[in-house]
This record gives sequence, structure tokens and C-alpha cells, in this order.
Amino acid sequence: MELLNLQPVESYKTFLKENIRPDGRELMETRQTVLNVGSISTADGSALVKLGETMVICGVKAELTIPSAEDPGKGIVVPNMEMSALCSSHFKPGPPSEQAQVITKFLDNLLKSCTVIDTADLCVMKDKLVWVLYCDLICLNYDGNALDASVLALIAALQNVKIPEVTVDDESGLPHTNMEVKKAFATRGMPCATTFTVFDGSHIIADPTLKEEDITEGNITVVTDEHDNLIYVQRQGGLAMPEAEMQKCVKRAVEHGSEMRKLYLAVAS
Amino acid sequence: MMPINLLLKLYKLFHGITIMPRTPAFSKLEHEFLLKAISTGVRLDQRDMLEYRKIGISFGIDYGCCTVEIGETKVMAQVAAEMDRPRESRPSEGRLNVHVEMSTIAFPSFDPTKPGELGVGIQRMLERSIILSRAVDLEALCVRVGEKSWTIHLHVHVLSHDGNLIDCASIAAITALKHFRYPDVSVIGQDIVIHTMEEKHPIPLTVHHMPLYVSLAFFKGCERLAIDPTYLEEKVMDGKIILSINKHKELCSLQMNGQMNITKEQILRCTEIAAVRAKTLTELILNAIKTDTDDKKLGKTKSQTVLEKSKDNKEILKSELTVNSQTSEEIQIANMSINEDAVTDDAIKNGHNNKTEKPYWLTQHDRQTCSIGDGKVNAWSGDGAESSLGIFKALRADTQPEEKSEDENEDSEEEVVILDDSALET
Amino acid sequence: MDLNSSLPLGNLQCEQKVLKNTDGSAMYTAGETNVLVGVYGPADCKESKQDVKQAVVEVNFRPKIGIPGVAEKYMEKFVCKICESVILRSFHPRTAFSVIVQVMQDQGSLLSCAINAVSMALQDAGISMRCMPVAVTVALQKKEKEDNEMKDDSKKFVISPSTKDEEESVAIATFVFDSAQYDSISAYACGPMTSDEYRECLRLAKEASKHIVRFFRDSVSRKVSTDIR
Repeated sequence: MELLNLQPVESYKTFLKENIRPDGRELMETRQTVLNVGSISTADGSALVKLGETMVICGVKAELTIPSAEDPGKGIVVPNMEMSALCSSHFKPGPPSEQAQVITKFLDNLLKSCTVIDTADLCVMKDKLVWVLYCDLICLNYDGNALDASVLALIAALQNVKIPEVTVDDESGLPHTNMEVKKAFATRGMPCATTFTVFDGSHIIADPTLKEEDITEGNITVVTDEHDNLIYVQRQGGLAMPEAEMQKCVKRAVEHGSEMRKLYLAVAS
Repeated sequence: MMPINLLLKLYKLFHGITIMPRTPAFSKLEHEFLLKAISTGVRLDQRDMLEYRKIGISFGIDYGCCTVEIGETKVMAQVAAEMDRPRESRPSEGRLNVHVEMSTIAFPSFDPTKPGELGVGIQRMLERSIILSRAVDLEALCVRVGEKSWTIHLHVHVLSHDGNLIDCASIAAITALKHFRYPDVSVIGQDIVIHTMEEKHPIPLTVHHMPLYVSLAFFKGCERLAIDPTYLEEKVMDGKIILSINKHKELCSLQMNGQMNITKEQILRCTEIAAVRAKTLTELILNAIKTDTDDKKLGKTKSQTVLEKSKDNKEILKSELTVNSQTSEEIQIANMSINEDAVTDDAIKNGHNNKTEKPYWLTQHDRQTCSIGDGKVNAWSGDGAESSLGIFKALRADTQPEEKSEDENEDSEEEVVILDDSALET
Repeated sequence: MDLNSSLPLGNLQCEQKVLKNTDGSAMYTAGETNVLVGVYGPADCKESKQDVKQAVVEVNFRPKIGIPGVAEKYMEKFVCKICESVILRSFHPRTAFSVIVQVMQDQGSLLSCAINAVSMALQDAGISMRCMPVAVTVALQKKEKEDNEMKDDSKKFVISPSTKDEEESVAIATFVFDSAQYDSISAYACGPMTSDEYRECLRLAKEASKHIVRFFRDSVSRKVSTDIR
């Protein structure tokens, strides 16, 4: 273990020769994933995800608002990721770190492209009243691969959302919220992200820890949906890699995705 | 223990030699050489003292997007319109906002996160020349009083800095405003419908006049004057006069930077030069916009209009100056031998000068726009006083609808006061 | 299926050495999208950011209207990772490369245009690289969604799509290849597609990237020949 801290790259190589990682996983194996929904009782929907030591919590707050002039019949979903100094010494207090901003944009792109939530469902009265869902994600402990954990937390939290019924009074035109009757709305997909990194330009490892992220270059994230379609592929940096390797990742992501979807279904029932 | 620190420092020192600093170095030798050349009337790029560099204006596909190049200086301006609420103090007017962006792309030492002193300066100057001189009709932008109006955003991106940023920025800004179209709006009962570009022809902004900045740099104790200074020339100059003037020879703003001791005759001459320059530039801009609309009709996506750096440019300047000037003395502007009347610190002599030249003052004053007196106050009293004066002026312009004649009257009043003062003294 | 593969890249234009103060710069036009890039480096670096082993890369992405936001940060990170992988950074320890990307006109395929512009600017600055990154954007359009029977007939791939094409498409993918082996360096695909469709996009992009590399070469040789004259 001492050696792993002093000479991370060298000692890591010796592990990889044996096709095993320091924490006992195989190269393509992911860490234990724990999903808990409804953890925050004050939020309209919430989920807590523990991926190994990485922990991300997501709370969804629903509010009524006037829609934008461009899309009068559509609600709004606003994801926001926070990685404060609390979760790791990698981050400093102050404005959101670059990594947090990149994850925020990733989640935003994901929600827009895969229609987990049809924003038309969030409309109460066209041009007058729509729901806006503020999805706040906070990383509580960071040990690598915050992206997968945050996707899992966000989707589970959105599935968990229950919003009160709103009736609009015909005469006065004023909305009335009935807190007694709450209903969940239909989420239309269960995207699941799987992240890989490349060590030394040759070994692909799934679900990297923080230590592994530090010594590897380039990461690949593949998001799949329940039809095993690719929804989002992101590959950042690293050395040039032949296509066959990429296909290996895609294959593994599809497998992993179907396993993870069992989690969603288990907590939903 | 100690040597480690020392070693580190040495290591950095050696590495520091190979690493390029963020700001380019400028040697004293270079400085002196430049000044020496200028004192003999020679500039590094073989220009004449009163010659502009090559100017190019090109447009993008979008309305209100234009890039202006003066030599190596390059500025892009983009205008955008947004439906907004009018200001409470001015319910029947739209708004015009100026944003100046200075990224590292233009100059290594520029900070991308904040505009810096230079950027703020340019922003203020553009605001002063375009908004306070009421170049754009803001009332036309109001859709419904107190509720809906257009807000126009003028984004000025500085792309490359090789001196004379303000001239370049002002040309880009005015051209972009002139080129811009905003979507048509119809008001049906309570609803406001914004038509897309395909549904209805978009509307151009009403630009009353085109104030353009012209900078003139002074060198060698204000004995030498050069128009359109480059970055290096700006480094060695004493200071510069920056005038905003339109083709009707109406002065919209005057600013002096640096350490200069110049006479009012010199300022007047600068105004003359700037007026001629503004006229040529206005023609160029209108020409460029016309070429662009013609090209767009033909289906071309890009157009560029270039005013070459050429001798005849200077000829125009000379001839126009001779036509405009009343005394033969004025012709010398072109030659710029200011040394004869460059009265520096002799106050009494200065007074004499005023006295002898008084008739010239008065006549000049009648023919010209009269903000010289105003400008003088501006330049001496620093930034704060200036802006308050500008607001004061704008407020007054507000109360009386006719701007042009009003401006002249108002300014001439101020002028008279100053002249009276000098008369009393003498 | 590959209806547009006959050379659908639109007009490509590239001008290098456009800015005076930068070490390298390029104005790259693909179709109607236009990006200006300036590069400084290897230059002095803040002590807090220094890396003793290799140079660091800073990317600054500047939109045309408004202030940079989260979307720009995402682009910055993407471009930064590409630069980090192609530049031979260990040659210049304790220094910084700074890349500024200014959007001049966005009419679709912005990301790929920006990456190509960065590539040309790095080349202009004479920075030693493993290879030049080449980017291509492919959009997948489907007329009828979720109709498995009709899928094959109604889908269409558009290479370097315009803004209008992008709005009509279900998925957009940008691939970055190296100019030597045409292996992929980076990828960004957003929107639902099967892995077969993904592979098809990749294949088309790879074809198109060869044209672009040829264009790079032409452009540089033309520039070099004028330089000699």
C-alpha cells in the first residue's frame, strides 16, 4: 500500500499485469452501487447514491412559474451539480469548480436529448403556469467517477418526484394547489452512464476511483437507455485509440446499464 | 536545508530565460529610435504623419455583425435585440447597452475575466459618443409605453490590438448599428407578436448621425502630430486627443489623455482634421453597407470593403482642409509645423495669443460646431466631471425636442461665456 | 444511406497568421460557421497552475453574444483535453499554452469547426504535436421516430449539419481523429441511436476527416509557398 502512494504508476502496472486492481476488482468491474430514494422528506423527490466511496445526493424541488416566451407550453428542468470543498481536498471553497460545471452541462444535455421527462407534461396552463424542477445534486464524498453516480441520482430522484395537484379556478383564473393529492409523473426512460478511463494507453478500466483518475488519461462515458441504444457518448482526451477498444466499452456499458436498471425498478416498486 | 530553496530559485531563473513573458518587451533603444524618426516626420510603417492605415470592413451573415480592421488592429461588433421592459424613468424609450470584451486573443496581458482599464475606457467612450449624442433613436424602440420595449445590446469584441483601438471600435460599432435589423412586431389587443425574419421584413435601427472617433497622437513635447497611432507609437507618445465627430462636423465628444500642453489652435486644427477624416469614413461605411446589401441580394455570403492606405487619401485631406480653412495659416495643418506656435508654459504669451487671434476665434466659432469650449472643460476636469456634464447635456437635450439646433445654441452660449472671460482679462 | 457523402463539407476556408500579437492564429470557416483562434505558448505560467513535469493547457471559449456560461465551460474542457493529448507537453515543463477560441459566426457544427480551427492555430504557432486533431460532426435525422419497421428507409446522415439540420435531427455526434492513423481521439455524441447507427456515423466521419486533412495540407502548403515569395 505504501508503494501505491509513493510510486502509483509503477505499482499499478504490476497489478494490471495480473489483471486485477488494487481494490480487488477486475478491470471492467464496477464498484458496489447503493441506491436509496426518498431520503430527503422535505424535497419533492430525492435520491442518494453510493458508488463505492463516492456519494452523491440529489434533491428535486418543484415550483410554479411563468413559462418563457419561446416555449409557452413547456416546463423547465434545471440540474445543478455542486462539488464543494466538503467532498474532497481536490476542490477549494468558492465558485463552482470546473468539474462541477462540466457535469452540470452534461446532465443538462442528457435531459434534453433523451426525454426522460417530457417537458410538456410539466405544463399546467399554457403561457401562464408551468412547473420548474430544480434538481440540486451535491457530492458528499468524492472518490472518482462522480458522473455515473450523479446520473443515477438524478434519474432516480426524478422518478421519485411527486407533485401536488393543481386546479385552476375557472372564474378567477387563479391556481389552487392541493397538497393532499400528489401524483408522480411518467418518466420515459432509464438512462444509465458507465465511465471508463484509459491507463497507459492500453488498459481500459471501468468505474475509476479518485487515485485511478489521477494516474490515467482520458475518460470515456457511455450512456445507454432501456432499448440498449446509445444516448450519449463522450470521450475526452487520452491517446488515439482504435475503434475495437471503443466497441468493447460500448458492449460493457450496455451490460452494466441493464444491471443498473434493475436497481431503478427495485426502488420504484 | 537552505540550498533547496536556492536551487529552486536558480532553476526558475534559468527556465525563466527560455519562457516567454506575457507582455512583449520594449527596449529603450527602440523607444528613442521611434521618437527620433517621428521628429523627422518618418513613421515605422512608412506612412505620412496624417495618413491612416488600410481600413477593411467586412460583414457576416447575421444582421448587425461586422469586423473592422485598421492595419493590424481588429475589432468585431455584434448587435442583438431583446424584448424587455423600458426603464422606469424613461417609459417611452428602448435601451442601448454597450459591452466591450477584451480577451487575451487581442493582447497577451489582457485579462479575459474582466475588461480592465482600457476596456472600461473604450466602453465609456462609446457610450458617450453613441448614446449621449443620441445617435440612435431610442423612442422608436418602444413597443408599449412602460411595458415592452426593445433593448439593443452592442457587443464589441477586441480581436487584435495594434494601437488606435478606439477608432476601430467606434467604426465597428456604428457600422454594426447601421447594418442591424430587428424583427417586426405587431400589437394585437393585449398580445404582442414578434414576427420572424421570414414572416415580415425586419426593421433597421434609426441612426440619426454617425459619430466617429478620430485619435491624434502628439509627440516630442507636442511638436509633432500623427493620426492613427500604432501600438508602439502609443507607447512613446506624450498623449492623444480623441475626438468624436460626425460628417456634419458636429463634435460629440472630445477627450485628451496623457501629459500634454497644447494650445487651443492645435485643438482646433485637430478638429479640422478629424472632421475631414470623419467624412471620408462615413462615406466608406455607407459604401460598405451598400456593397453588402447588393452582395446579399446576389446570394454572396461575405463581402469586404477596403479603403487602401494610399497617397490620394492624404491628398483629399489636404485639399479639403484648404477649402475649409479661412486663413492661409490653416493650410499648414497638413504640414503640421506646430513648433512655431507651440506655446507651452508661458502664460502671458498665451494670453497674447488669445488676444491676437480673437477674430479668428469668433469666425471659426460661427462656421464650426461649437463644443470646443465644452470640450476644453471636459478634458481638464477629469473623468467624473465629464460624465456628469454629459448627463447634464443629455437631460437638457431631453427637454427640448430639436436636438441639432438646440445643441449648437447651447454650446454657443457656453462659448460666449468663455470668450467674454478672455475679453475681460485682456 | 450515405446520400451526402459525395463531399458535403461545404466550403472550407482557412487563413493563418491573422492576429498580430498571438504566437499562432487561424480563422477557420466551414460552411457558414466561422471561428477565430489565437494561441500563445509555451509561455509564462502562474505558479499555482504550474506542472513540473509538463506544460499545462488553458482554453478560453468566447461566445459572440453574452457572457460565457456552463455551455462554454463544457466546450473548453472538451477542447482542452484534445489539446492535452496531442501537444507534446513534456517538452515544455512549467509553462502554459493558452488557446483562445472566439466564435465569429455559428451556423451549426460549431464544435468541430472550433477544433479544426484550434488545430490549424497550433500548427501555425509551430507547437510540436503528436498529430493534428481533425473533427467532423455528423447528424442523424429520422423522419419517423420509434418505428422500427420504417427505420432503415427514413433515416439520413448529414455531415457537418447547419443549424437547421441540427434542429431537425435526433442525434448529433462529433468525432475527433488523429491526422496520422485516423484513430479517434475524442467523441461527443448526444441523442438516442443504436450502436449500429453509431458505427455508421463514425465511418462517415472518418471518410470526411480524410478530406479535411487533405484540405489542411493544401492550406498549409499554400501558406508556406506564399511565405517564401
